Amino acid sequence: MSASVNTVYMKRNISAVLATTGLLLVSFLFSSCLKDTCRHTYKIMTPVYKKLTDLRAAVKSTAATTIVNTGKLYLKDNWIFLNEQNKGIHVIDNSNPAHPVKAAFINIPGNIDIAVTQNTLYADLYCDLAAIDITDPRHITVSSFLTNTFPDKSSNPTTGNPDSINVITDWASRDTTVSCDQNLISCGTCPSPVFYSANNSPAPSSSATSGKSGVAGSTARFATVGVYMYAVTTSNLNVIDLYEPSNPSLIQRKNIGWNIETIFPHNNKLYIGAGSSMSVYDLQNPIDPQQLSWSGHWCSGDPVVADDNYAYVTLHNENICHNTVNELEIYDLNSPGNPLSTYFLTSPQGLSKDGNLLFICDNGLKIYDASDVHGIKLIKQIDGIQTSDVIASNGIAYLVAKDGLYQYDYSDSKNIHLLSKLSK
Amino acid sequence: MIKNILVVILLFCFLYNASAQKTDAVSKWKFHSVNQVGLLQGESKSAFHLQSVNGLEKKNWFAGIGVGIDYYRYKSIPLFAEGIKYFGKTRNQFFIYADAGVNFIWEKTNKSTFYSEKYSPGFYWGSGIGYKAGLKNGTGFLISAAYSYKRVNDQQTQEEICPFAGPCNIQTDNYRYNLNRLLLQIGWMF
Repeated sequence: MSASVNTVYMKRNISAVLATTGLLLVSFLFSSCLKDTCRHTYKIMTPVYKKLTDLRAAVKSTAATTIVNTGKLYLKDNWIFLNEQNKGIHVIDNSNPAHPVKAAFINIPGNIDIAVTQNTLYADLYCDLAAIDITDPRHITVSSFLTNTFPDKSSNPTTGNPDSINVITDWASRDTTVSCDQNLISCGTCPSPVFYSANNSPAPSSSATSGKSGVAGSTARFATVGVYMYAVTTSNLNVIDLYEPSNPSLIQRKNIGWNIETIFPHNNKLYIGAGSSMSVYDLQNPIDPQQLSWSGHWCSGDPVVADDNYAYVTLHNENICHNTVNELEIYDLNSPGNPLSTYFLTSPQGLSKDGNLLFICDNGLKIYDASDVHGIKLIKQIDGIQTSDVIASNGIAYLVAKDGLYQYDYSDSKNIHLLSKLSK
Repeated sequence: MIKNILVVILLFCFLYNASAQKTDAVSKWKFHSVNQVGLLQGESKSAFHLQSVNGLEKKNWFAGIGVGIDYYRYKSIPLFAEGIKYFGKTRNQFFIYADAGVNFIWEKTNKSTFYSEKYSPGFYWGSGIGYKAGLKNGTGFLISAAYSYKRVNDQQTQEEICPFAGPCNIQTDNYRYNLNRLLLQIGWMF
């Protein structure tokens, strides 16, 4: 009797399991009805325009203000001009390098680059080049505007009438959500959104040197040589006549490649740093610079400086190239095809050379004895500062950092020490 | 993540201990551990699934806390609460169940100078039917089929072209994956 009950029970159990299994398998056949979905949310950036006439009217001296976003640096006599990114220029009285004083602020919308010749300061104002009289740097007067010097930033690059020109001064963002189902597994390949970046417009910049000019850093995009100014944009070299300093005029706009980043003048030559090359232009005919050499390198950011025999290029990965190259390359100017020597660094940016000393912004400041380019020697390292550019001139290293402007005395290379820090 | 798993383990210990005490005192609450492996079938692929649910049972109702490993598209660890309703009074019972919780992604976070990818926890739930073939002492084999959903939130941040002195623009893309699957499981409970 008991065995019979158990048999019935087992049969019932097996039937239930089989029925359930069948049900489950059948339900599995319908799994194809299930769909995975993906939603992609991103920001659409739309430009905010302002009329160029209104922006020009805003150029004026104001009281000294807080340093917020340090930009490029320019030295002229006892004055330091420190760019406040897209806002204007801090005018710093550096009569006593141990106690620099913020003397005034020049409000210049959209400004990033600076150059000075005699008593005229040249600054970009979006698509314009502004010539500003700085006889008294505390109280400037605007001399003139050279319209559409940087046409990539202009809504109407062919006109000379500022009332007809709008420039993008800001970006408004708005969230947008779309389906990305087609590329669900790796949505990195989803259809790209329409995206306008403020930085897609070519960025402007700052200058360097000679005669009655001042000194600029290695990340400059303006360079003055004699009575000419050379201003690089993403793909062009603008040659500007400064014979009449208060009234500059554009002589020619020369296409010199792509992803141009910096310009450095030395010995009647221009050293131009681009995303994947360093090229040298001869200024024998200053109104029509001719390329002397071109040296390709890894795609990277690359400020360049030079002395009489060598060009020094830092490659860093913090730009469009997205690679991992971080190094210093030294080129022999007699044979610039390939680097003479290469040194690995952490994240190098601006650099400067004075005598045998080579200064490199590299997660702080590194100072090398570069008397032998085949074996440069680190003699001083300053950590804990987020640096972007440096100018070494007359025994003082002017160091632009995220938190302000530092000055180091290197007149004695064995006793390099901080002179002052001008912070926010 | 490790912290969360430790919390779950401690919770199981607590439940087991509480169950032992209750068994002595009330003799109605029983601790059970339901452990299952399974196959997830979705739109285009199959994946392995493993889970353990530990909790208390009383009068054909079971409630517990579960943790698992889910390999569907993005490897993840679901942490969830589960409820089961058994039908019938015999050892062999049909049951329905539902669970809900949070899904923690087990993917590596990608990070470089210009790009970073970060996953954040998403919602997880499921519901299904099954059959328990009971053995002695409350143990038994289980087979079940269920619908299972998990959400994966993926944030990708990329720095745009950045000139030397210009402010760098940051582009952020948020991807929200809604993954719908059928889950076929077999397991053992004690």
